[in-house]
Amino acid sequence: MKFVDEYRNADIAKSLAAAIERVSGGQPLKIMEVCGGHTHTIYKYGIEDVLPPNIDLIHGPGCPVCVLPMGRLDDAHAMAREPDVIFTTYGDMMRVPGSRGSLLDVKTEGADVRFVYSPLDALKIARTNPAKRVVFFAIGFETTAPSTALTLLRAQAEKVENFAVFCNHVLVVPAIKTLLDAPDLRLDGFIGPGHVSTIIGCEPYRFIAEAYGKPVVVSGFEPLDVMQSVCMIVQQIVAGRSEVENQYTRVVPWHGNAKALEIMARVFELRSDFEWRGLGCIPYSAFKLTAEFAAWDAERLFTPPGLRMDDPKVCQCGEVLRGAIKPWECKVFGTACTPETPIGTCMVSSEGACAAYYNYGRFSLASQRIALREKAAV
Amino acid sequence: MLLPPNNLHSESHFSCPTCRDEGLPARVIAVNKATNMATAQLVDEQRQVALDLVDGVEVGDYLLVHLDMAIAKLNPADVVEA
Repeated sequence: MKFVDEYRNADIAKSLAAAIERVSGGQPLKIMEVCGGHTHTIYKYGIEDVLPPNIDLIHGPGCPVCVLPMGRLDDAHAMAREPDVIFTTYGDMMRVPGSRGSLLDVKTEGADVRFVYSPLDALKIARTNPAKRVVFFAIGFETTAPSTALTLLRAQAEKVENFAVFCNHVLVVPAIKTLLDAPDLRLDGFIGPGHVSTIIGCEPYRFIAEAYGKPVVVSGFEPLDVMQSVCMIVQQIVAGRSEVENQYTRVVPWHGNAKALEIMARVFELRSDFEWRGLGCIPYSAFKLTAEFAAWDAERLFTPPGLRMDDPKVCQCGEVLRGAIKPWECKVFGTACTPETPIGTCMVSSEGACAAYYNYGRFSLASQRIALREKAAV
Repeated sequence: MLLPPNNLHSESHFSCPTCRDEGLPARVIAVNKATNMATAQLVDEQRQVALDLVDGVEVGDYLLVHLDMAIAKLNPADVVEA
């Protein structure tokens, strides 16, 4: 475990925290981690407890489960209820509530809903069940999209005609732009998503630095990665710079993965708009399948309701996803809404800010820090 | 059990069970050039991994695997330096 330990060394974390405190000079800074993986790391390792109190980490909309609107879930449920359909999905999607229950409820009603590890597994099910129509519920950001694209290319090459994809892939950059344009959120910098950047590279974030003047540091997922990224962002702010930097050089190439981008360009095209939970409709922020793959497009093969559904009134996932409130500030957090009985999406996926805070963060010193901040503000 | 070649969160399969928007490190055990697939040892399981997005994969290489697809080849030397 030598390498893992190196990236979780408490002494180095403390020295990084001291450097952040020294460089920032007590200046209050709001830094958003866009990716849910980072949110998970921050809560799991108690990073907020190590950072100086003037650094406020805001959790962004980088959990693809959390940003999926209820209407799309209802569409998925409608497809799963169709006769002769095997509906395949990633594990936690089974528990995400739609307007009338979850996929688990749909399964209980008699539909054939199966959990798969990857879209290639779903394709395998299609090959072995030629009399059935196999639908794969594709979600995720740019990290996940190439896997769906590759599976569709294989389905096309092998002429697997009983396979279809319900495409819900979303894009990181339009979401960040929406946040930057939001009037109620002032951010000083961004911790950029690590593995999304493995695919798209670092160039797509340049507009954040150049047009909005905010630093972006693409970060790894270990605690020291996140700490170092915060330090790099603070150094940029103090020096009056706003650039895109890559802390995660051991994995993220500056220009991304050309092959992945190529297959994505062949399989997907941009939707004119797509509704995000908490962020509303964002133009050109999601993928749909190109005409070449119409025969595998579940949205063309089925007629889902396509309705826009409001979240439950008590649910404040939208505000959590925009970073406007912290998970524990939601009215139903930890009481009516828990990982066992989630009301909102943020409590379902372990990448969701609410689930991450429920599982780890509530044991941290966060509440004491809030009190300190409030005291300092008085 | 395979030890991760670097810090790529040996426990990340706990951190993103839903969409796995994060990758997992894996060591290549066998390569099938005909299907362009590899048998890869992840932290606690072996998976068949598509090699369409990475070039020149050999037995013993480390990959970043996401949803049964290698999205990057990892250089352990770089990891140590990092």
